[in-house]
Amino acid sequence: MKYEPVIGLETHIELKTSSKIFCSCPVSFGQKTNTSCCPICTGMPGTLPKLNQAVVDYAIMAGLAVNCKVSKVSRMDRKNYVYPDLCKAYQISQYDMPLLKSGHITLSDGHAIRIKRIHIEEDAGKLIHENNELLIDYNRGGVPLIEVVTEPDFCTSSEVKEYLETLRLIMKTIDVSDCKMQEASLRCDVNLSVKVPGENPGSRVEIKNVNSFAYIVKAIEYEFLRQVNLIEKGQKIKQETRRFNAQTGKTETMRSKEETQDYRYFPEPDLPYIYVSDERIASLAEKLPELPQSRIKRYVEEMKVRQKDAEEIIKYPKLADYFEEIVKISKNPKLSLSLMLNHVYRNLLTEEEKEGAKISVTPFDLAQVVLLQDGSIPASFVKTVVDRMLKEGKSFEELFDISDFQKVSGDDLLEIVKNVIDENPKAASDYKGGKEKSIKALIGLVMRKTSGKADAKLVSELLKERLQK
Amino acid sequence: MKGKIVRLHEKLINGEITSLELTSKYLENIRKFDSEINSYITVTQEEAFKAAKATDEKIAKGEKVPLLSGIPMSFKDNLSTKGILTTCASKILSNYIPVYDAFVVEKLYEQGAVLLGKNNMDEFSMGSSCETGYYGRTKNPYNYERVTGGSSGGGAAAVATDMAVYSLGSDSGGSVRQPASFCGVVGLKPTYGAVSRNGMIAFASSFDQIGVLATTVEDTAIVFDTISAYDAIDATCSGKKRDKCFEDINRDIKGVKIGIIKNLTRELSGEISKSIKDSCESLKSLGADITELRIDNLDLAMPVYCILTCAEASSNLARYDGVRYGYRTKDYESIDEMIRKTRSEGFGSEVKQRIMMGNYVLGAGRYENYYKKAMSIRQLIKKSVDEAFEKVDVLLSPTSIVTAFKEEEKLKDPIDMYLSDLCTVTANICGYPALSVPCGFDNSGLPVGLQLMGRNFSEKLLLNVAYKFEDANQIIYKKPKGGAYSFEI
Amino acid sequence: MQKEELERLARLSMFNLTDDEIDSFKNRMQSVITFTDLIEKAGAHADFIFENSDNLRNDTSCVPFEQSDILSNAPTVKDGFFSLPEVK
Repeated sequence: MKYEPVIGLETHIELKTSSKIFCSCPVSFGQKTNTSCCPICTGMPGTLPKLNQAVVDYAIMAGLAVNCKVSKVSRMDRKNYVYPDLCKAYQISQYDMPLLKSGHITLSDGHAIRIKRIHIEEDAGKLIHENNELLIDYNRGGVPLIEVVTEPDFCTSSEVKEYLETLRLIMKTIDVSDCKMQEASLRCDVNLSVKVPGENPGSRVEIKNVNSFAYIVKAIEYEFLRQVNLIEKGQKIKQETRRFNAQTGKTETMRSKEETQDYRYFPEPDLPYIYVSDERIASLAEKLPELPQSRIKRYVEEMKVRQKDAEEIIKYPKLADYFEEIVKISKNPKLSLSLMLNHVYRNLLTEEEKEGAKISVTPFDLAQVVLLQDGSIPASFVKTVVDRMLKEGKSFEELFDISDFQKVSGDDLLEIVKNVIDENPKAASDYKGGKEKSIKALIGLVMRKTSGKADAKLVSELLKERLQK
Repeated sequence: MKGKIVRLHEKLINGEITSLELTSKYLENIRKFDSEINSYITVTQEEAFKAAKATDEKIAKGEKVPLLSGIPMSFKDNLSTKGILTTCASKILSNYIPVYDAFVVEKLYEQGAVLLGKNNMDEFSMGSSCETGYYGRTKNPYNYERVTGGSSGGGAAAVATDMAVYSLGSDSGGSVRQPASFCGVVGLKPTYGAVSRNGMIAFASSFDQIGVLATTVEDTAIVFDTISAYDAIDATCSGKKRDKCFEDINRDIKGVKIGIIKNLTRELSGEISKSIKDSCESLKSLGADITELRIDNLDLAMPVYCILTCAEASSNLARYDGVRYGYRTKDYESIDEMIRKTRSEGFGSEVKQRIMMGNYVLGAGRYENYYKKAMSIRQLIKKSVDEAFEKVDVLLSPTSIVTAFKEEEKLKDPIDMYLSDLCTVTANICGYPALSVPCGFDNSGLPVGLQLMGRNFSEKLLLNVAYKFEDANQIIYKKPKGGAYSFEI
Repeated sequence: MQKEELERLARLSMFNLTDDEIDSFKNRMQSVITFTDLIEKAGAHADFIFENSDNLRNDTSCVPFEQSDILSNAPTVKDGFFSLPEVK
């Protein structure tokens, strides 16, 4: 193709601290309007911000997880603009001294997306327009955010999607954010321009607040074609801010360059500079759990599970933790993982249950099933067993008697085999006469008589042996 | 010199007077004189009586009460008082009732302070004459045609006329000291970070500091000791342990090194110059070691102050949009129009100009040459002052190069108005403590103030020096008759 | 200080200025700007910072304010929201 898109992303991620960034109001979702508020987060006169230590810590952990350098000294700045959802008419953010700089996320094809900076800032309230009336709820005002800003390193929308999925997974794994797009705890602005190879990229268009991964892909694809079309027609691309209209699937103008805001950034005088010691960085690095990419590698190399299965389980970091607990006891990664993916997953109905690994029994309980499955319970029963355990929240022992699953074998089985042959002389003689298929009917009958608790292979051997005599 | 607070406290616990009687006397003074002087925006008689009774009951029960218990006082109207109108002398907050108390308000309530009301000021503290407020100007008790100075002019006038024993104001460039000097009372601007700003409605965040206005140095020290404490809510409030200033305030000042700032005393009018010279002689005779020195870059202090305070103010005052509290315009068709009309109708012209000035110096393309440059010069000025503090402990100058000027005299020229704070801004630029103590009168009988500035957290020394000076000169008793309305207690 | 510049600042500051205000502010602001230009000649130095060490709060949440207190000063409210009626 003659044209290439040049894409950069700004991703806002809500941190799940217990209190807001500058006051002690709880961070919560779905509260009654204006009930998670105080004079500070509603910008009443005379109030002062005080920075939450956990916001700095979570941001540093996020930064370390994407290979950023931590600034020893950084500061908060005021970004001034007037809008009713911003109660002080300035957002306390970071401008020229962000907390984190120069990191990267490597995509599966090895292409590294450079992260220019990560800074901390406060979220704004929510506006609702209803019958010519503006309604404002400040519960979300002052909720802590990090903004992850990449260099314009993306060449395709699928790269953007993979980056976002990876970023989200990392944030979930280190447990600093829920990253739920439907609750707007992860939001994205896309910067896109078009480049003819060998030339400088054209004017940059910003697409604001696209609120699902699918829409981001659509918005990028639409915007790229829109700009290419304009260039082909010999028109100039206007530097502007656009929004994605989910109904039409198109991007539309929000404001043009002439109207761009003059944010009049300056250092926030109400807050001292932020100093981070080497010791603090080291202790936060220590707290970081294993990151998704290394976890997959370990599962594949050490546990010898399939890459695809490993990728599947780490999508839900807490389920992966749970899985590892099972393996510790069962010592059988493959069976444990198949138990998780084939049986446990089915019982977790919502995303929330998967996210939170809401499993009603302990890893020890499920490890027992894995161990029993290794001989004592036939595979065909695992589904029933796990379903009942998870439904009732009880251990295997509480629900079943192991002897129910003990295989019929030895003399008992031989007796049944004899009986079946005696009761079905036609099938027996058919087999003897060369109709090999007729043995299947006999196997089926033995299995029925043992309520399935016999090893089919063994039954087949016993039958053959018997019939040859 | 013994202050009012200790004397009144003794009378209260001896049963010579009740707090209710005392409070009534002060309220009576307000009723009699304040329709003319206009030092109060709101008078809180009901709350005052309630607090007074509480102290009286405690004393009647034989309980020990703190020094400030039952003593009538006032707050500048930019200090948030829960349930009590707090306007900043602005139409835009003319109906605003805070839902929380400022830190200092809480501190004083804990001591049993009796709040008489909220004092007049320049709108959002932007001014040096107490003339720019929505509720009209406060008159200087010594001469009604003269200004009180500002912005804490209401508090200074109230204290000067026994309409309050003491008052809390705020000082961003001289707003406590300059009116103290114009009204013949003591005014202290503490070290930046000594007193929590929590609940003080901001003008310029890195300059604002809550200060004390009182008739004597001892009273000032007692009140300052009470409000100077760590507050976890204000991130700029220092966690340093505070010296108790009232303790041994009478100690000897022999050998204390005091430097006269030459470049602030050179072009003084004859009368002010004489008062300052006399003051130096007096301090010398008390044993202080007086020298003269020059501080470089002080001529840059006022421009730096102008740029930085306007910048901070433009942002601090952007929240007044008619959405959540305060005044809202009547007719509008869009969000934008509502906000514009509300702000255009709600702010006075001085505030509007300073906000626009702030947006000018912060704007794209100007930030580097104005705001950032001013920040670096702020550091340069601090360095120059620090060099002086290597040689001396206290820096001395007049509080103002003029005495109380005529009403509206300086409203025409904004620079002229700014320059009436010439001697006081440096302390705010550096964050250092400074106080003004009366040191004489000019030929028209208007008070002159002496300013003492010290290193960070040197309030104890400043108050000690001022106390000895005041004690030696007894200026308070030399007040010309016919001006102030103080009564003997 | 040009009229256009003053109007731009008024827009940024969210003010509608009358013609009289524009005339008077233009001159007054010009004189303040000229005055502040005094700093042009001075050399640049390190930025001013208060010597405060960082001062952060622990991540503990407290009971927030009552909704009625938060809304008590609002000119208009609706169903627990701050509201602004009659806007397009």
